[in-house]
Amino acid sequence: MRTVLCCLCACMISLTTNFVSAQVLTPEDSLNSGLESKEHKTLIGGYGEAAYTNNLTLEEAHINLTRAVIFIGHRFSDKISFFSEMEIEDAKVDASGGELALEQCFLKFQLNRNHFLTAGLFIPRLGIINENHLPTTYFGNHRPFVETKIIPSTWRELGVSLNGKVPGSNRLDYTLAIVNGLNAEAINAHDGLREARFEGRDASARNLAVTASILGYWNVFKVQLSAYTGGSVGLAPRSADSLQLESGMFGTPVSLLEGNISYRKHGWTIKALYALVSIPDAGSINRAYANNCPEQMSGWYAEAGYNILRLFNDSTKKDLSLFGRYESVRGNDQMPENGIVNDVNNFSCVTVGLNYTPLPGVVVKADLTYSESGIPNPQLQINPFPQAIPFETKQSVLRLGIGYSF
Amino acid sequence: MSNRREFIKQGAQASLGSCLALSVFSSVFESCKTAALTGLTIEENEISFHLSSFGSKKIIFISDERLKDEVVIVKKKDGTYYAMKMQCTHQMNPVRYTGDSFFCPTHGSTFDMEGKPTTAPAMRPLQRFTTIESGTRLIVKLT
Ligand code: FES
Repeated sequence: MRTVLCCLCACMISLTTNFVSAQVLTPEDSLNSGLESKEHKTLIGGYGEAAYTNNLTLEEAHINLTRAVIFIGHRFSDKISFFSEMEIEDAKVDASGGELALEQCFLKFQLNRNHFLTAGLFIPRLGIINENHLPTTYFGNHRPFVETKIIPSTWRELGVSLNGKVPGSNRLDYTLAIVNGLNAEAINAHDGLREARFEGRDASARNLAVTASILGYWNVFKVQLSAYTGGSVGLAPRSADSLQLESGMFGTPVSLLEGNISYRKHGWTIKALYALVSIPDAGSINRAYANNCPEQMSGWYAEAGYNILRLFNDSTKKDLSLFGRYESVRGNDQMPENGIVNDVNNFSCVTVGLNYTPLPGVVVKADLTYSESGIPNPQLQINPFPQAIPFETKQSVLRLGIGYSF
Repeated sequence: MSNRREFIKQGAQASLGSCLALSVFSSVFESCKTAALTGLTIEENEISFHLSSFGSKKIIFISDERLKDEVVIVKKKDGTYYAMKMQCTHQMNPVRYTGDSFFCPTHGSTFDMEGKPTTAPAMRPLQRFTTIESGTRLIVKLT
């Protein structure tokens, strides 16, 4: 892990050096020059989705406005812009649920043609869905489970990110970011890292994380490799010592490595992604917080879709994609000795369905997910059978939904 | 277990190492970009260069600090030309040429060689510029 960090730091220094050497700052092309630009522009956009979900096995159904998001951007100048996304989850917010949150809120500084810097609350490039989470861009009503359980999309944190083209290459882009770290107390094998994110609210800043990605694009193929490593204990040394945890910048580290590849041509879309989370000090975290933190989580999926309208009209602008996706999620891939294995957190599923795009920005979706998990650990059941409804390890869920983005 | 740890370590090292290595050579490669265009002139709202710059190429990129955005000029089969701004119409980030299309790394939009959007979220085509053939030169109007 130390080697990884050394690489990240060296990389950042090297890239920064290259900007400075590649770009001669003159009054005309410096960041400040943009401030005099006449091109001031405010953009408004948005996206949202609603779905009907019917668990055919448990005979439960509900319908929900999953999310509605308003995007507001403003261009202060050619060099400096503002981006924000405000999200309402589940239509309203009250004591029983829902969420109103900023999904992104950052300033973007265009350093030169090929490199820009963002500062604020942003979404690092980790996986596919994290950055590309508009419902019009992925198959199915539910985002891939691997990209919600293992990579907690939409994962946004506060920090600074450098993005751009890898210098010297016409086929590679990079991102390199420093963000606030996670909260070890909230990591568990069921929700993974999801509850450990700060998402811009009063994040602990004694622990930090570094994340980087390389994205290559060759004709119809895209290949990405991304990594994240950061401290998960932001407590003051005295408090951390009393819990026997290592605090500080990269203390009690959490690391994630992800790779994905996608292909798109002649109506076909094929994607595959693998993600692995490593928490070497999970045993210490469990000793301090008894939160059943796993030592390792992993997951992968592969999906393929084909626009069947192309069978009738090769140049159609409409899209009716028939797709299938297989996923494997292992929430407790490796547990420390003081962790409790719960096989419910390991599951696989197959989703098949249709995505209909009558015109860009609008999608109608129908899909069926069949999932199979392990059995719940009886030690974790507070009200065992017959009080509790028996757990079904095999479940089928039907989803119908709509989505939009503009 | 140890294999997976090794995988994390090696994967991260490979990706970050390649990033580092490529960045080291940046200035050398960056300076080669528009050097191949003969008679290139860039004025406030106009680019001009000798048509001979195309040679056997079908596509030329003009990436110059004097321009707000990179410009791509494509030679069609019938010998005419069109020029486009290499800027995504979703949230105005730069697009990249993939070999047979254009791709925006920020949210994954793609555009065909004519600039038409082929993958969401972008919905509008890449901005086109007027091209004028004037003798042996091609003029691209940037307004
Ligand atoms: S800015 Fe290009 S896809 Fe969003």
